[in-house]
Amino acid sequence: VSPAGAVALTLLVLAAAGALPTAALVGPRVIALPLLPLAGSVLCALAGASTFALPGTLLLWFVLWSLAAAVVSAGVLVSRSRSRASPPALTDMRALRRALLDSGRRAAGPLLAALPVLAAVGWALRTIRVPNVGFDTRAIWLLHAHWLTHGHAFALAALRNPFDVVSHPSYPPLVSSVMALSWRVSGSGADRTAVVMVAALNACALFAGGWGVVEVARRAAIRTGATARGQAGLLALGALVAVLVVLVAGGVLGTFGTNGYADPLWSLAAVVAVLYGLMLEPTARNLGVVAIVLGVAGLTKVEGTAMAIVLVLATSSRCLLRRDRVGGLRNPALATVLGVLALLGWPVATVILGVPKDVSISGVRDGSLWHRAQATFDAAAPHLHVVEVAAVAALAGLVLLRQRRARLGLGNDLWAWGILGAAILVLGGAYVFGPGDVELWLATSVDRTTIFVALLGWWIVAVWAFCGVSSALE
Amino acid sequence: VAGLVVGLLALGALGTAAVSATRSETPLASAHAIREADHSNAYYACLTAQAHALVRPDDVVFLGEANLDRWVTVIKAMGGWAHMAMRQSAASVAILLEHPAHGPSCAGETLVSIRRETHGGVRFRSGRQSSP
Repeated sequence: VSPAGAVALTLLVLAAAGALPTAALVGPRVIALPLLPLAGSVLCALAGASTFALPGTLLLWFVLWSLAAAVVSAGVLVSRSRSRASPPALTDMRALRRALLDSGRRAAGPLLAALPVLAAVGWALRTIRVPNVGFDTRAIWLLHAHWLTHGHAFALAALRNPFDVVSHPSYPPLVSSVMALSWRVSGSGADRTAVVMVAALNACALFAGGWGVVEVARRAAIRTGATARGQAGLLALGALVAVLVVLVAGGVLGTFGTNGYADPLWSLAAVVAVLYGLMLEPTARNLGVVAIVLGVAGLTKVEGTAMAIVLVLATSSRCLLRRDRVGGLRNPALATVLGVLALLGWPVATVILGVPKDVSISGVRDGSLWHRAQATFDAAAPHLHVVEVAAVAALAGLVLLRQRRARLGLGNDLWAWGILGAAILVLGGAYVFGPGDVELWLATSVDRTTIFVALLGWWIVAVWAFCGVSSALE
Repeated sequence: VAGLVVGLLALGALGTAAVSATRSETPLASAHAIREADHSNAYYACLTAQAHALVRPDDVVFLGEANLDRWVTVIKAMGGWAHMAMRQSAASVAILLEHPAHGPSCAGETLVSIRRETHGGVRFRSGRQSSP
């Protein structure tokens, strides 16, 4: 099987596993399409964690987790359909035709808007033609994926082996599990298959991020009660802004988007969580999107886990503070506790399994805190010029477009800025308070660890761009 | 109108960044980048093939490399499937990454195995696979 065929097959398997959970959490929307394999990848990560911890193979655990998720989701869907008004009877042909026509008309605009966003994603990740396998991809993700293909005993022994500590065995298992699954499903053990698989997940997350902007436009069209022509204009503007921000994201990701690194996936997933949890209205279905992408971010990398916990706290705080309690969370406090506990599952499991401490968080610190902070600022600043652009856009927007933003039903921009600030503190804090030689650490990682902040900055600019220009379309 | 200007300026910033991103990505997807990636992939495929030829499935491997870069290079080639040991006394074979003066090599480097034989002697073997 060629790498493309193997990846297509694995995407189908992941999508099948993620179908019912996505249907239960998100419902039938365009955003559900890229979320299908992403939800499947979360189940695959759980299967990977289970393979490390318990007897059995990755494939067995993947089937078991997928079945468990499908049963729970089917139960939710059945109970939800019972409580809803019944659809037109199959014998009432006229009502059925009208319902089909209505849904077709409603879906036509979004599907048309999806095409340019999809094309932009393809263009943004065109470095996929280069068979590049990144340094960390070989030293971490492919290595862990190979461990998983050998089954529980080998995988657990490798995870505990102090010899392998340089390959960060405590890193979350999503990327390596999906790589291993792609080999198992396709019968191909090629590195290229595994790397393209990760790029395919990045493409899904990037499309979801672009689609979030289109979703902002769709909500705007509904909330402003625009005419059919006005709605089409808003949707076209949303698609244009989405295309631009996706192309910019391609530049931010660079080769990391297609060389098997994990940083783009958690960063893009976290941006989608900000869009659906802190910018769009926190409806139950938008929070369903947040749940899936936070699962992806939290199980992809340590920084992703930290930021996913911050995002859980921020999203549930927003739900708690809203007076109208838009159907999203019945019990935000309980959801917060469950979300945080779920995200802490893998770090706790590594302690229980006796995984050696990660070299990034243990050891002696070189240099003073002040020197490390200065070195971190100097190294990160060239990658984060967008924060200045976003700050100018946000300040001008705050003064001139605040009412417009509220009218479009978008959350206060301070939520996104709170996340951006938290990311700088978490990611920068790791360099300042972490161990070892900070210059070497920064030189080998700062271009990747700044990806989330840079992407979020551009998405903040994109939403203000839509708010401002859309005022002329009404 | 002022709000529209803010929106247009933000849109302009996005457009400019999108053009710049497209330009910066072009060399990353060039024929030169493909050649470099192919070369690197051939190097690691060669080292992996050498490692498979030198290490038996039931071997426990000690990696006799003091240099971290070279240590990581060898781990990339065999850390996914070989049983590795921290102590030499626990291993049945030791592996080194050498620069041979002549003979087959993976871009100038070759894996060498040192195995303790049952009669007490020591046997050296070099990888025979090569890559450009």
